[in-house]
Amino acid sequence: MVNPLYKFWLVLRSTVFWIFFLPATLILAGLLSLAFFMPLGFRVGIVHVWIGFSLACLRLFCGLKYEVEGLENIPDHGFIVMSKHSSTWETIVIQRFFRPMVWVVKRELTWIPFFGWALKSMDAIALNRGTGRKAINQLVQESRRSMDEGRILMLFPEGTRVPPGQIKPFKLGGAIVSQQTGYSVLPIAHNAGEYWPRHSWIKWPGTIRVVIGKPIYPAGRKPERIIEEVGNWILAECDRISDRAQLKRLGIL
Amino acid sequence: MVILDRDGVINHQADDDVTTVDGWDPIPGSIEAINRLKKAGYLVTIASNHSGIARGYYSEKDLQQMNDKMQKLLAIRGASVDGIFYCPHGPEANCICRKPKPGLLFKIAKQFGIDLSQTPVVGDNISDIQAAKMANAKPVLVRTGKGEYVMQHFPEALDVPVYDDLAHFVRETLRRK
Repeated sequence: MVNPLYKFWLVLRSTVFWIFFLPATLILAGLLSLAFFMPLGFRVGIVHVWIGFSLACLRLFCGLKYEVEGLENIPDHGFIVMSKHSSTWETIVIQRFFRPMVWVVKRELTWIPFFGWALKSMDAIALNRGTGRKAINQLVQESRRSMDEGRILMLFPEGTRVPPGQIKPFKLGGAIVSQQTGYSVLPIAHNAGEYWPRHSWIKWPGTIRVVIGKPIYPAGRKPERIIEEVGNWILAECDRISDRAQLKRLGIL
Repeated sequence: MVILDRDGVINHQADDDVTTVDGWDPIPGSIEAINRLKKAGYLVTIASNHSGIARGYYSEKDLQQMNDKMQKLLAIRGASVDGIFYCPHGPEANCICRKPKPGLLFKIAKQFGIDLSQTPVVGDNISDIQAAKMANAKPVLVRTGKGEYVMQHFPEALDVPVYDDLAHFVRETLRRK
């Protein structure tokens, strides 16, 4: 059990974090929304100011840091990043390693004021998930164009934040893109959900571990086989780097 | 919906209970079979006896880990089991959920609002067949696990459709559909 006084201290620290993080996010997202006509480099610059500021706030106010292994696995160009999704944290920080990148998101996200407009300004590929095959064709087409232009495709195959200890099916879309376009998949595992859990006010102090895997090549395989390899690797790595002491604090173990 | 027993249907079961996550080994084709059922639009749930918990052979946490292993194997194929129901009691507890009693099946029916009379219950043990019959569901026997033995020793199993394994059952079910 976590000492209630300590918990209160964490709530306080996280509140200070929000006091800085929220206005900065609104301002920068607003700025980015307005800058949709500016050169890509400028817009990417705004994103990275936001990432840097967010990380500094997390470190300063919440004592939350991160470390990365596998940076050497990142190919020079043209690949699809598939990351574990367990927290808001990775939606901010993962962009740091890949530039310029482009998000694949569900269409509804681009309707959110500020945040969604910023996504649009960054040319996010917005999927209408209800439309089945049409959505897949659109995804493949737009992804191919983006990657041909030298951008790095970024998506969460689980489709939603999955809390530690839970398991959700991996979606096939990204693997279909890989199969159809020939671009490889770069899998990423991390344990951010253990420190910045979904719907949690508290951001716990500690060090998030991020692991970048070796590229997985489509090699003429069916999308089902590709996502199987990706999912296998991600789930196994997440198990390996999971912080058991932190899971106990969260009451999951 | 299709309701499955776990040990002997989805994973191998030796004479002893499976007690650890490392000892939990899927029967070849069973995970893919569940995946095919899900892709065909079926709900898939599991109804299992785990008296090993009451007997202290393994803990709920061990069980959770084994089920997680199964869910992970499904997740990377884009599928998941819709519900895992189990009885943790021993025989002497006289609970209503331990198969051959139909408690687990009723619980599943209630939670999902399904008609058991249209629902196959796939098992490898006589207790699966008895529970299914008592719940007026459709019992199905597979030869894996204890299935072969049950087929030869229990007259109650004579009128129950038999398949080689879960993969065989799913193949036939989807073909007929």
